[in-house]
Amino acid sequence: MGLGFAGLFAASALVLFAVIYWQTIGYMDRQLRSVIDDNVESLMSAYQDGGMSGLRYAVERQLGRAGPQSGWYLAILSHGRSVVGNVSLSASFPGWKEIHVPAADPDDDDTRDDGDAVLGRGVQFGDGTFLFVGHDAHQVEELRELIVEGLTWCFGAALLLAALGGTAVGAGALRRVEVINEVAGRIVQGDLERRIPIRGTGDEFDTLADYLNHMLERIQVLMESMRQVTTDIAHDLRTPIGRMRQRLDSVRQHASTVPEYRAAVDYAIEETDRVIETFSALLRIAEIESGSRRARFAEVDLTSVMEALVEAYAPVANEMGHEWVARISPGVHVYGDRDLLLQALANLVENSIRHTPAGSVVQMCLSSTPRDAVAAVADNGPGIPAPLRAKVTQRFYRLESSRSTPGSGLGLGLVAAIAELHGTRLELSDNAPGLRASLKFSRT
Amino acid sequence: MRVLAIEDDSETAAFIANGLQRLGHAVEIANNGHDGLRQASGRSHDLLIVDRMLPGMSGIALVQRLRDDGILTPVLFLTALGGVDDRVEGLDSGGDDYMAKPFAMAELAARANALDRRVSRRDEATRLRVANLELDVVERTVRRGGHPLALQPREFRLLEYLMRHAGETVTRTMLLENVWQFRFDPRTSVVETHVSRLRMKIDRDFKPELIHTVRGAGYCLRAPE
Repeated sequence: MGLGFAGLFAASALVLFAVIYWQTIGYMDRQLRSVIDDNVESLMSAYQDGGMSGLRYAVERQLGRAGPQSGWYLAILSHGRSVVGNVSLSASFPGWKEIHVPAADPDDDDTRDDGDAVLGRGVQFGDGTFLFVGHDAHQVEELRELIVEGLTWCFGAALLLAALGGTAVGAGALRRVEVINEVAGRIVQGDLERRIPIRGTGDEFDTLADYLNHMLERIQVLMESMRQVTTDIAHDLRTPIGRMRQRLDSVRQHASTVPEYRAAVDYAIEETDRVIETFSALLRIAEIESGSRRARFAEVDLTSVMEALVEAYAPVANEMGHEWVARISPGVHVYGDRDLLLQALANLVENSIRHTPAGSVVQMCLSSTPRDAVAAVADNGPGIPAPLRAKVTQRFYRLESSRSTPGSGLGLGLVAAIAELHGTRLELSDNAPGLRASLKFSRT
Repeated sequence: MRVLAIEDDSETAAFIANGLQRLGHAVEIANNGHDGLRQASGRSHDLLIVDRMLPGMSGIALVQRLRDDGILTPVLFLTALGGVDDRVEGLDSGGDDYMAKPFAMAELAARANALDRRVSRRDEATRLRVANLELDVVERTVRRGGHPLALQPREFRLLEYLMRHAGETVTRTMLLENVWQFRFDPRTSVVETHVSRLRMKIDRDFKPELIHTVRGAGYCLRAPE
């Protein structure tokens, strides 16, 4: 990892430096060449106008006027022999060439051992005349050396910094990952209380640690609720099975007639049915919580659902001595699962019927606004004390007062699960007196 | 009726066979999907009881094959897969009814009777008659001994269902599913209350008594022999 990044960094630095090099040196070089080209042009026109003598005159004039400090190096050769010039050439060579001339000033520090660099261009004319126009290139050379030296230093320093910084950052990141690893290891070993320390710098590692801690909290809550549910299931099922066993045991010891055995068998079937009912309810809740039924969601006529419930339960409530009131708005539709909504609302109605004394009033209301629809079941019975309202939707939770009524303790848990599937919540509130249970469906 | 039970669990198969034989039905057993398909292809049965998880071939695939081959023997799925999706899948594949294990024999017997292909044509009748009780599905009228009776809509549907299955036992669950469309078991006496109200209207002032309670199973509407 670290080496890879260092390599990448070095490569990008090299590219950057290459660009700088070509931009500066290349520019100087082009400038110099264009100056030389201009001079060649003017001397060539002198040759065309005045032939060899015209050219010679122009070169001599330039050399005489400009002097040795001008930086110009000119020469004319005729058939390989020098005619005039301030630079001696051994041969003619058409085109661009860099040559070295003896140093103008040998004490100068800039002077190299092989003399000064001169960039020049040779032109061969048809009559054997050869013209060389060159210009001192030592400034370009100097700049080149300066830039190469500077860039080399820069590159070295950058590489060093990259290596040091990378190591430092890497080591810091590594340390923090190690901390996370260590905590994760502890958690795997069962220490669910552990959390990843947050440094408070607000960097990505803190964000990661924060997310992981939230995840751990959720896992812990889930583990605890799973433990709770498992324990509750075991308790809840052990009781009827234990009772059944006692009964069968005693029948085996004492019963002697067929009716006695039959009664024992009937009892056993009844108790088994209750155990099966509990399992079915658990499976149903699990199925609902899995969310797979959302795929079957469709437009549901909530008015007709409520009316069907009134039709089914009003006679039951009356039979049990309850008064029944229904106020149902027409034409209310929601998006959901009809069977499940029917079951959820039926559970609420049945709770009101079963857990209130004779003479109580059971109320079913469906109201709607442009924003939402509220289906509610209310009664004026004993209600649920405020601190316990959150608990009654937990699986197997049963109020002291209702323990004598048969039931699995899963009814409201199922309603809560159905509500959640529909993106809403089971709201339990004080009906003063009594309980009001409602489901509010958003229409957006 | 002749029943073929395709069920790999021998204990469940024996329970089904004993229970149905006791009621006078002839029961064959196939303990895997391939035998089941071969036996069912003979078309000599009035009802197939099919498990979903079978060795060799799944119950769903088996029923699809039968339907593809044009064999329309009624199928009752009897399976441990009781979720709603499972149920829908079963009915979509060509099943006529779907029951989840564990089950009560009385429930199975009642549903088997309701599916019997020898009597399944009766759903088309629009005028039903049992003894001196008459029900007209189109006119929505009920008469007993010529006297018109006023029934609530749900009571009418309850009576219609009982009359279409006259002489057979119908269970609470069958009534809940078919009359109220409840796919859950209520914890209050919904069925009992409504049946008792219907009884008040049908039977209280008339002879003979037609709606009978079948202990431990359900109800039966029948004329005295």
